[in-house]
Amino acid sequence: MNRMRQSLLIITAIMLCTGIASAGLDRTFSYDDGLVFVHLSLPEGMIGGISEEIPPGFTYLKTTHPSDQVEILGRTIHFAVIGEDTITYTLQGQGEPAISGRLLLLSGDEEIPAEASPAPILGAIGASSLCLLMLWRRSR
Amino acid sequence: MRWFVSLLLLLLLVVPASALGSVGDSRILLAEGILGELKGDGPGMAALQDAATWYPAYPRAVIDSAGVMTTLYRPADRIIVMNSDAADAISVLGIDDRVVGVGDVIPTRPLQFPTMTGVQSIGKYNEPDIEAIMALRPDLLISYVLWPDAEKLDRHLPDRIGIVKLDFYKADAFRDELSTLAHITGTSDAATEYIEWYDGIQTLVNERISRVPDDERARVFIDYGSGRTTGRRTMAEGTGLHDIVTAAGGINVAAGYVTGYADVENEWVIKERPDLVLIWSPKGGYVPGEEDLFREARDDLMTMPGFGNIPAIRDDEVYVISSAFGFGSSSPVAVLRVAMLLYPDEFADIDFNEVHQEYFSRFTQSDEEIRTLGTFYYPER
Repeated sequence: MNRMRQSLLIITAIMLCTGIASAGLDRTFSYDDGLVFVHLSLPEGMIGGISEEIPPGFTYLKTTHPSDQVEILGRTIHFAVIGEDTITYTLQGQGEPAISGRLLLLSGDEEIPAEASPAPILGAIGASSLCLLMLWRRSR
Repeated sequence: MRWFVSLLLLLLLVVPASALGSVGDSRILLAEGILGELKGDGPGMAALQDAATWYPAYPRAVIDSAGVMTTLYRPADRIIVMNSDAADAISVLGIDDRVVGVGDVIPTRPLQFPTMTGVQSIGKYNEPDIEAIMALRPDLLISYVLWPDAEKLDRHLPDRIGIVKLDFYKADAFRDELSTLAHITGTSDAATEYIEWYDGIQTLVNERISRVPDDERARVFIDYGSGRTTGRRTMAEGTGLHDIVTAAGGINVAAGYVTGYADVENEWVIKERPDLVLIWSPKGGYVPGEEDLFREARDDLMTMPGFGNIPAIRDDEVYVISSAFGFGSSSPVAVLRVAMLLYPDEFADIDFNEVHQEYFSRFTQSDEEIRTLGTFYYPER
């Protein structure tokens, strides 16, 4: 594979990753020894709120979100989002929780400054790095 | 492999170090509003959408002189001032162009408030016309702490209208109240300019009167006309002119004898032998051509039977001060005027008229005419 084709692939990967990350709210999970880490990827520069309803069998433990932007009421966690790109919170329990969420969006895309969120770029870096590593290994 | 590392480094460099920094109070206020909305007791979607549009400049919140917190989610572009003291403060901040409604006294003072005279009236400061207020769609309404009571105002207005209760007629609270209004209206620069001037005058007066030994402090009787039941009416602790006399380094002879507005016997005034008498008049000020009323008030007092033996009368140390001069944003000028009357030698290098004119030109929207025709004190020393 020549350098030109490799570069084209990289640029395409970056554009794809940026597009996905900008599309909207995304919830993913990771696990470690009875703990469930819930990762919320938020729209760029979002101002609004998210309510997460935790199902029975899971207990809320903590979050990386600023404490004065979080409120827990029973099984519902309320997050105020003021430009943050991600929220991660930790649950205790087994398996994948069936969380139902509610989004309160106050700001439209047209009001979001381009520099407000580094998240798509970070995602692009990760994805393109992976892509490049694969290409590099294949070309050897 | 080298080009891959270079690309990775380049990408890392373009990542902003921090997308949003700390913006203080507005972040906390907005977070509280959003969390409240998620729980069902928030300020409403319209307010929060405004806040999202104006963030981080808004939301802004203040605690007013009634101890109540008011939050604005957008700039106050439409303001109602319910009384002349609030109009005075608005003039100092230079935002009279945002005023859409005024208390009914404002249109009667065209020389003091020329830019607000033609603005829609909303009725009396203590009996407002709610329908007129609603029709003006205000963002912010400024009223006295005690008037009108909540039954006549607050409970009729929707939450989206911020009501801030500030008096602006108490000398000891004026500075803080102006800062409060400046914060909620986003006019802190104008307030800072005024407060620097205010503090400069206070410092000048304090410096000069500190040179006067305690046993040489002037003893002052404040006269507010004939007593309602006996003798003369005076003003002691808790009144505007008492505060001015005290700030100017004088001793109010009635302090400790009576409180607030009270009548005192003529014999008591004669016995107290004040060095200087200040007559407090509701006349004059921004109403031209009332100097004669000041002269009459002064003559009436000076010809009172038995008063000729009072040092102040004997030495012709009797002055009339307009209440329009002593309250509100001009109160530092009034303090300087009284201090200069009490201790002229300490202020021999100060041109009072220059200070007064500076106040007019920098901190009021008043008509040029009033600067020469208004009677704020009488006579010139």
